[in-house]
Amino acid sequence: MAILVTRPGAMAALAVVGGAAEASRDARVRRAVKEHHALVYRLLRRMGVPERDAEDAQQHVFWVFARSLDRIETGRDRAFLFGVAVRVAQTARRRLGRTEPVDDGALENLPATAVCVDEQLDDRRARALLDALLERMPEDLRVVIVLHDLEEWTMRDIAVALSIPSGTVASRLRRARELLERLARDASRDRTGGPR
Amino acid sequence: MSPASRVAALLRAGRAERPPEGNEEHLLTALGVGAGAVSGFSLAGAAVRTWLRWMGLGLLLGAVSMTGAWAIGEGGPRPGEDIASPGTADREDPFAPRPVTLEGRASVERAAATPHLLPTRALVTSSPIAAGPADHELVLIRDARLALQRGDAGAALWGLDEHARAFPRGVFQEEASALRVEALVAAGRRDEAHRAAVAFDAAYPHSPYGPRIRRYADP
Repeated sequence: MAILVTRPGAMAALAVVGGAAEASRDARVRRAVKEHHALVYRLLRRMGVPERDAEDAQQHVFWVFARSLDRIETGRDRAFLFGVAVRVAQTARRRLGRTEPVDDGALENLPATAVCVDEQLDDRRARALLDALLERMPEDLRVVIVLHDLEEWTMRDIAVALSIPSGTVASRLRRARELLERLARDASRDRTGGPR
Repeated sequence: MSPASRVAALLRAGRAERPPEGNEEHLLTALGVGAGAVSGFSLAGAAVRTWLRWMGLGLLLGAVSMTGAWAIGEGGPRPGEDIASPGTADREDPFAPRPVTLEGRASVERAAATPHLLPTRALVTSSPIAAGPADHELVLIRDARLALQRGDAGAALWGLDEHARAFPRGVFQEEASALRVEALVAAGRRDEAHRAAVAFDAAYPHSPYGPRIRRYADP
């Protein structure tokens, strides 16, 4: 009888606990979206997801995140989102099965600074070229230069996210920078017909 | 312009990129945690279309659409629900592909405007054949997970073996390894599960699945 008397109270308490847990989960998802949505978007773009697919892919990443909340350690939201974003980008690229051609002409037209009359258009053109050059890089180098030079992660954070030593991050970053510079130089020479 | 300054300009442009206007709000809404969260129907309809786009499953349009309709009947998906396999919904599953998104800006409105296109309720009981290798890899992982959910550890392990054979360097090795630990536990093969968990922890020390798998690695 006592059970019957106390059950409604217990059920109400459970409902409150459950509601609180759900609210907490929602709050965590909202916080992650607020803090990391732009990062995820840019990561996907720089890892090869075309602009037309980027928002879909971004939502896929956050959906996986929301589904996996219980298993993501506190403080590792960004690293988890990064991991999913890289995989989603890999899947998207394989699905597309192609790469965008390099717009060599855009390189010579780049402004010396980001400030110009048609800044937005030039930025867009520059990003298209950047993506085309990144597409030619091995994935391990590409990830590192995107995270460090574009997203401004520390080498330590990259090392943790990729589960590799910091020294390896430094080495890959150096090689990635050299390769990107060489690719940019080659693209420019191809355009101008200069010696290689 | 020197090569270094060219690259610097490219990187600067990359850093300057921002998501389209309203992206954050759309994202919150799609995930069901925004102030203006859409109805379950709208979200499910958009989810179905994007699922189709991602997985290249045009021939299975009807079946997958019915999956979305199932979610509609239940009030729509929320984070943690399994839209692709409603009969085996698992709020804790991080493994399966869940391309549940809004397709572009107007998809919510378009979905809401065409309710007659979707039936009221149905189940999808098997994995479709996917278009590309990565999609096929995802399907194998998903099948193994579903087998594990229904208590068929043998089938799950068989699927994971298939995955290992077909995709020895696949992009979902981490998920497959985590699933294998749980499948071995479910099969009662504790020693093998322990060894697999130890190997998982060594291979993926920072995995988000680590806390769950690590408990099997304890002596």
